[in-house]
Amino acid sequence: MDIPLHQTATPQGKMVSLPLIDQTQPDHSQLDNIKAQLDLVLLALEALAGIGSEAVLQAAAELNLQEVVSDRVALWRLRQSNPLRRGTGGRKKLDIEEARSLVMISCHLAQQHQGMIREAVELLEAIAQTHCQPYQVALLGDYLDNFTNTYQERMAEDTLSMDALTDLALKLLIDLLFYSNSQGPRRLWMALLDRANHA
Amino acid sequence: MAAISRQFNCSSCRLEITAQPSPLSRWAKRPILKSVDFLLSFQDLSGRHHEPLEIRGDQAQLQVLSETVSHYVQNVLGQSLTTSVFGVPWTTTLTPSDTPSIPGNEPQDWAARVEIDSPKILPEQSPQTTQMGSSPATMANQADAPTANPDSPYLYPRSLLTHNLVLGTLTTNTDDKAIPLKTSQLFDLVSALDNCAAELETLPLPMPTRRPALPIWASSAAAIVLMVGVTTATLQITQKAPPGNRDTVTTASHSQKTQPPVASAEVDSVTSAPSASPTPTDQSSSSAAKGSPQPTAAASATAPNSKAAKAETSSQQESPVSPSEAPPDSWFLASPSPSLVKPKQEEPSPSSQPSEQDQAIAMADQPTSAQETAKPSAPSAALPAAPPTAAEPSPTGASVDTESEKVSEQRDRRSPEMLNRQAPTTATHSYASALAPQVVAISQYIRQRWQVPVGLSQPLQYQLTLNPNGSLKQVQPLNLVATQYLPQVPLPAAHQPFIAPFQSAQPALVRLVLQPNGTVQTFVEAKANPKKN
Repeated sequence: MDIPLHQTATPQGKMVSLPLIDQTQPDHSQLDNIKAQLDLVLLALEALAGIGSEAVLQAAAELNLQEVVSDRVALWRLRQSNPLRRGTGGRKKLDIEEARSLVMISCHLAQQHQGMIREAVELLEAIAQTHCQPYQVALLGDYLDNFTNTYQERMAEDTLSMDALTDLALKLLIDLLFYSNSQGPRRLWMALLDRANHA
Repeated sequence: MAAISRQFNCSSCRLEITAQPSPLSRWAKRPILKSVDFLLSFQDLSGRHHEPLEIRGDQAQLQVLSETVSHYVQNVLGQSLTTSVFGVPWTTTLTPSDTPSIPGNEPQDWAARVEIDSPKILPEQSPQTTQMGSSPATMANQADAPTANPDSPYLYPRSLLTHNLVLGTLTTNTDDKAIPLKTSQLFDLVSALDNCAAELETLPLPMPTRRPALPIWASSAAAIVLMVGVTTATLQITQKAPPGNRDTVTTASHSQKTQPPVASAEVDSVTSAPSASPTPTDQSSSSAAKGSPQPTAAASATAPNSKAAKAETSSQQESPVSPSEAPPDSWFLASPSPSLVKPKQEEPSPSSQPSEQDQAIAMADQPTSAQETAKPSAPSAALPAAPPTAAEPSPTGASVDTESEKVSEQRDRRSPEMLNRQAPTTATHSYASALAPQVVAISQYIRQRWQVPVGLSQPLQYQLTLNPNGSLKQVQPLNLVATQYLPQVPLPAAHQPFIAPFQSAQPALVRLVLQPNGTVQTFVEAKANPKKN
């Protein structure tokens, strides 16, 4: 049972500062689009570990996926398939081999940076029990800043509030931890399909 | 082969596997294991300072735990981002009692946004929906809430960062039924289980494979056993009968249309069970008149209540079939001990027999209208008499009463000793039912390890005394051979819990029987009468 997006917030009023009915808002179910998810996972890795296109291309080479991700342009085209992106976002179709390659690359990179991902998650767990904000912890603050800035820079304008962006970033961070073990590719692939069913 | 042990260490938990390597390992890339035991220990769980939490179990439990955790993690990951980030359920805060944090410290706004209400799923509750990961609340409802076995472990989310693992019947060193896991600890747990599954390969458990195989041949085996029993009983009847009468039977088979009443009277005079009612006689004669194998029909109809020794053996031969139809809590009926087996084995067989009798009656109902007019009350009189345990009097006639009296007389005459022993069995049924999981667990534990020694020809019988904490207190061999082979029996170490604890003020007595063919049987012994041999 999907929760309708236009439902009002709880009495605490802590969540969802989105305008509830606004014709200019994009459809948030796009977040569950497979192409959007793959781009967001890479965006989270980028924001946390500073992974750039070089690292992605190197991971593709290590996984023998050069045919799919051969250079920066090919990588940009793949990521540009995200329908949330500005401009021509979402026009390109992603075939199954390209999606599989992005899954393999994302999990490979997550595995490489598992230590940092875990440290960030443990920090999050620790400060969840205190009065601190994630922004007050260096690693998490940098991650959230990077994620928010990059998201707002690349995605269509005014799509998400800051609170929603923070939640999205934290959710992606936690997911990254589970993508970083040996079964990560399988889990990410299944999660993509599950979420796409809700889109 | 020597037992092997593997450890899978993660930051917050350690999974230790102890197992016997299978001979099949030599042909496999990965070691193939059997008789797997696991020990899962968590460090630094909230609320447990310094002392690690330990969970023990066997192969089946490891498999269930692994599937449960993996399935739960996949559900968490597969949640819609739309609802998990924007959905209303994530906005509700935990109640203070649910918060795993330090008392007095309220979670921050951002944390509150990712907290959800603890759904407090009970195992009895069925999942409300089958849609995966549509919302945290939905996920919580469906999160591995066991539908098949209410004692299975399961998880449910408390927030995006905390989860509760309900242990079910897993043996642990804590009294808490649910342990709180942070996300990083959940990740360690699933990683350890993933690594274990990737590195080791276990042989499939014998229990699930053996059971589905049973119904395939059960029907044909039942038919064969029935035919053998009936034939034996028939031979017994014909051999006991005077030569002249035997001729009558044989001629009846040749010229059934001329002498059916003689043949049926002959059968009834020997078997004599429900013969007080004239209906079976008429029916058997009519079936003989139709050309059907008359002695077979008659003997099958009278076998359950017959005094003939061969009929008893036929009903005992049917016992391999009846356990498959037995209710699930009849585990203790499968013991080979004659003291407990006989009365229980014979009860299912009459329940299957009346169908034969009904069939014979149904067949007999068809042919002649004269018989139908002659027996308006005959089927109703014969049918209630079919289950011998149904002692309620039928309103149809006195013949039923006399019949049931005869049946009860025969039962009393045949097994006075059995009836004496049935009483404590019935009285201790609730006691035995309470120990059912433990008895099954012991049976599985031994079955996974028991190797039949070369030259063993007799069953080994032991009496196990169990402490309420699920450990073995004492072992008492019940026969000489059992004493001789005691060192080779894979019994668990004394006072080391190896099964789930049970509620009892005093130690429980369990009989363990190891058959030379490798069969392992266990059953509860009555409290008042611990030794029956």
